[in-house]
Amino acid sequence: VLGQALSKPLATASKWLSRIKKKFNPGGGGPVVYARVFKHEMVALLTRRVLVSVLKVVEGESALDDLDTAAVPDGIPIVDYFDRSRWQGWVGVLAPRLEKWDDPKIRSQVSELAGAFPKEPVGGHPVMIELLESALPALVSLQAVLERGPADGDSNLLCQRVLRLATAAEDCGATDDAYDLATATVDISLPGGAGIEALSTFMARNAARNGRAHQIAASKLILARAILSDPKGATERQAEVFDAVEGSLEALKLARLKFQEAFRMPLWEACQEHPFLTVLQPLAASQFPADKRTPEWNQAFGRGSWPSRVTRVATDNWAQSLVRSAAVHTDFVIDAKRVALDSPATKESATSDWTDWTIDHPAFRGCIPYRSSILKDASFGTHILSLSHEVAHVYSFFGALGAATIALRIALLVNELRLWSMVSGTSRDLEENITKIGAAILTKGDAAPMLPVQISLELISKIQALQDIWTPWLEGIAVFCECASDPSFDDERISSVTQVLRGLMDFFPDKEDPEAKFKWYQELVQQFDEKAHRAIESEGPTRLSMYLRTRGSIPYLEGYLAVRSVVSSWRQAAGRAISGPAIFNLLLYVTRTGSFEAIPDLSLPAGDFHETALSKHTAWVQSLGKLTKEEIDDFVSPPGPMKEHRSGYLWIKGHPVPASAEVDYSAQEIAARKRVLDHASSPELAHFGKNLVDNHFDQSATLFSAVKHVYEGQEKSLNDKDAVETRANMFETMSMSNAFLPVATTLARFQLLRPNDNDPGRLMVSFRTRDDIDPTDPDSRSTLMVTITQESAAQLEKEYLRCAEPRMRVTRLSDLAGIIHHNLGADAHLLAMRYGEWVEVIGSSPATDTLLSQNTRVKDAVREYVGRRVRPSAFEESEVRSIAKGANIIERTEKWLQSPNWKLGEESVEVDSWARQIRKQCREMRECNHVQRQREAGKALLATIWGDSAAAEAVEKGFESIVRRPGQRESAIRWLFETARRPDAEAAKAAYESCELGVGLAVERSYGSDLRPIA
Amino acid sequence: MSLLGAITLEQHEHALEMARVIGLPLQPIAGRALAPLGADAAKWLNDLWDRVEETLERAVSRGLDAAREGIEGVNKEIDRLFALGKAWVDDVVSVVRARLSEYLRQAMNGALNAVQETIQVNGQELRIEKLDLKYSVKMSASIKGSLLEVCEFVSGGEIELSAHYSFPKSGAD
Repeated sequence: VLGQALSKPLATASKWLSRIKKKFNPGGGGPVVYARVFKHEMVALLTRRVLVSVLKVVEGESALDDLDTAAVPDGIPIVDYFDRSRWQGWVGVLAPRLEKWDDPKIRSQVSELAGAFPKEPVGGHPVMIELLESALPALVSLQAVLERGPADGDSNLLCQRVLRLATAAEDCGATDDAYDLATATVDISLPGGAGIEALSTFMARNAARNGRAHQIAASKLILARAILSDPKGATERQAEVFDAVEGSLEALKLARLKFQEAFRMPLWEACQEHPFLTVLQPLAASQFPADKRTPEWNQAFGRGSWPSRVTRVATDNWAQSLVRSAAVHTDFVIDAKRVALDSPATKESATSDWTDWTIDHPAFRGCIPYRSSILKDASFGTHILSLSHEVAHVYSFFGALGAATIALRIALLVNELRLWSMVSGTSRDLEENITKIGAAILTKGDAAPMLPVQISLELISKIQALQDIWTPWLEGIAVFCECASDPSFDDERISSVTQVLRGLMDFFPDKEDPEAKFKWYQELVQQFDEKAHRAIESEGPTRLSMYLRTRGSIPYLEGYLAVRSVVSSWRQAAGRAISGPAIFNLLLYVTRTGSFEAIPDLSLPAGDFHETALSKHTAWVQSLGKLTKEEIDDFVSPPGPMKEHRSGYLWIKGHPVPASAEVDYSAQEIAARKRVLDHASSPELAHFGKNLVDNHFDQSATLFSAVKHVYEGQEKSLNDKDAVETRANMFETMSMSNAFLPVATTLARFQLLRPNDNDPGRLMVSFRTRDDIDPTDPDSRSTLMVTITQESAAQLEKEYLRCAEPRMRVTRLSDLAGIIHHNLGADAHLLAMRYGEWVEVIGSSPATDTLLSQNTRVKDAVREYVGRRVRPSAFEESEVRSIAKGANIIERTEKWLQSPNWKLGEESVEVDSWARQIRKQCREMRECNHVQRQREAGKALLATIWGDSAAAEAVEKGFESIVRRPGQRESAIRWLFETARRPDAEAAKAAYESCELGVGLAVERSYGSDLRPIA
Repeated sequence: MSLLGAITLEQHEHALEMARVIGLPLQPIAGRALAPLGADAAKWLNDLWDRVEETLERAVSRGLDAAREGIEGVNKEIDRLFALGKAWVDDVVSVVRARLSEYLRQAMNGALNAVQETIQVNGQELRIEKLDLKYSVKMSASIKGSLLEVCEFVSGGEIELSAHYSFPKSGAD
């Protein structure tokens, strides 16, 4: 069966195969032995086919003439028979021998070749070298499996080795050959083990890429069996098995009858054997003809076929009949079972990512809040508070700090492209190299890239320095937001973070009267605010205590106290108890927009950068205490008639300047961001490079001039207008894409009605809306009906036929920057649906959807930015994973530095001390204790703003060192909690009187007690 | 000779400070800001530990009898904690147990370090050769037992020690 599922019939693949088939005619010899040998020969022949296919691409058809088919004369070892310094020699001698795998002498020669292949790559084309490097060990394993059987010969190792070879073949475009090679290998291997799991996963991905449903079904079935062979497969890995079986069943529906007949029985048996797969039985049974199904099944689902995921026949009530159908109900049950298999161990914390500004919240990983479902969430409090914490983080990135890190990230990317341009023998398409491989591969011993390599390290080091230094402050902001930004305490305004959270509710008016609509909307908002208020009341103190009493880890305490000191200074200056939510707006605004002056010159050498960034950061926080009463009042007071047109503030020399109607605020903000970007653009980078050379280069004038020449040549090309423009565009695109924040995501089953090629399609998507109740409860689900254009419907159908996945990914995003409509701001939420290459974006509520449809220009921009968010290109994904995060670059550099000798071209150069210096830099970065650095930054921040090192040191020892009496600690937390929201509240006064606070933490004001302000 | 080692309040505070460094598992992730979801475990740990600290302080400053009520209170809280049947209960219990061990270790070190290295006898200097605790402390597997053991050990801020002093060996020997 597996043989039938191959991409190309083997009999026509090669004349050698035909010959073997004749040779192993079952009538002509012992069938068992010969069948085994024949299967192994197939693997060898397919390896040959991979080598030859790629050889033809690399060298052209004529290269095949050089294959050496001659026998090696007796007495001469094969490794002495050809020119080993050229890869062509290796392919020439190896490929013809793979046609004679039944000959033990030939197999032994291939083993000899494998043993002799140099560890240092032979010169030549890296693609062929990768193929040879992976093929030779795979053939050694193949020989072992043939001669000693799959168990003793270690078929698991064979699978792992073939996987590398097949991956290389696929990368070279030989995708069918890669699949066939993998399949033939599976056929001679034991059914379980990590190797076969990896190989079958590769096969499934390969088959989906090529749109071969029967191969997807086969690969996923093999994968399911492989996982079930693992002793923990049927217990701890149920979700993986479930996905594989479900995927196989889905693909099988699209396969030809002969494949359905071959695979449906093993799938049915798997569903019967394992209780956690029982729920898939209806799907498995539906693959059989009606007369072979059980009567119960026919009674439940009818004698017809299972509803196709894509329906071509239009009926008037398609949607209604689907919603009522037993099959769609079964879909719900299948979804519920699948969700229940997810491990609860992953639900420990929510996080936000510094690099791509995304949130990962376990409660919103498998469901999408929709309409007013969030209000019914049993864990509303915990979910909303922790989500507000993470949203505050992302909003904080979305300003000066984010601009700086994006600028450094772009500089790093450009530098890696430059490095790729220095690697010989690779594709000239530098972006393709990043996509396929990631960080540039450096040739051992080649000294030319030494300077740009060091620049990459320096750029990573700067990104990490900014992250570590700003972490305490950002955590302080986030904790303040979570516990003090209570929407019910501010009747006039709503914070941006609350806007995102309120936006999780979608307003679907069923009333025509505008007044009634507005009233209804207000009631919904009021419900949300009241629930949020109760959540903060009941869970706020507990969560605040959790953060502030965490020791030896993330510096929540230091950051929170610093934020509270700034808040206290502002209240002191204003002479009144400004509420938590009102003051949070100012905190967030100043962190985003007012901190450009806190970012150091990005072209500073990394050694100076950390220190400068820290001192600028602490000085900036200290300067926040200098805001005047007028400035604070102007910001926090509600906008009156005179301020209606105020579009924001510019932040100049530490003070907010209201932007008047005449000032093009957005242009100025963009200009400010570009200033940061310019720091990382070419001229400064060149200057920075010069510093490096001047500081660290003292060995070889030859190398100096050679590197400088290469570098300046690169720099020149980067300096031209187009390159700078490209970089600026990258900057804007990254910033704008990041302005759409994915807050929840899930996989959802779907149905598409596509009556014909000329009419719009109708899409029904069904997803969970809450993760806190029994997933089978209809109250936790919602069904979305969307009309999509005929082009969109056609593309979705095409994608379905290609990859046969049963679910699409639905993501809910908030428009942080108010791109859809500035009045709506982050209230505007979108639903993005992604299936393979297909993406559709709609407003989550009718109002947002209407706004989106009315403005084609905005809609196009939103589609582009959201598209990048939910379906980043392979290049973008690789940039985030392999470049921006930095770890791969450090690892790559350390490997490259293992070279004992350095050369420039053919000339040896003496650069050991420089290499040692880079090695040291790598080690320091790898071993850096970032949490410790963050804590030190927090301590330095407090010492600066309080002007009191002793107090900062006391804080370092933990909350308990500030409140020494154990019985008073709860009161102290209560005091912090209450004064953050309202220092004049009675509860704040009561808490203040019942605890004794160290380090002069509390001060008394006319309006109540508060934290010690900035000195 | 037998000695009474003193645990000063300062040493007690230091031991507590070192013990508090041990916390619930919170694994920062490089390049990501993090917020734990469940605060209940942290709340239980903090409340329970505050009671333990109060009890230990009483034991050190006023003796075991003064601490008995606190020990009883902690025991009742532990029973309540186990009755919750939550998955994180074991984590909380492990942290409290580990903190008690650390506290004990630090308290012992503090007391032992306070013993004079040399003493003068009849105008001659004797140097410490060996220093032993008079009795061993075996930490119980349960928090209830452990807390009692630790309170007994530090009771009244005194620890019984056995010290052996001798004349320094001369070079001629």
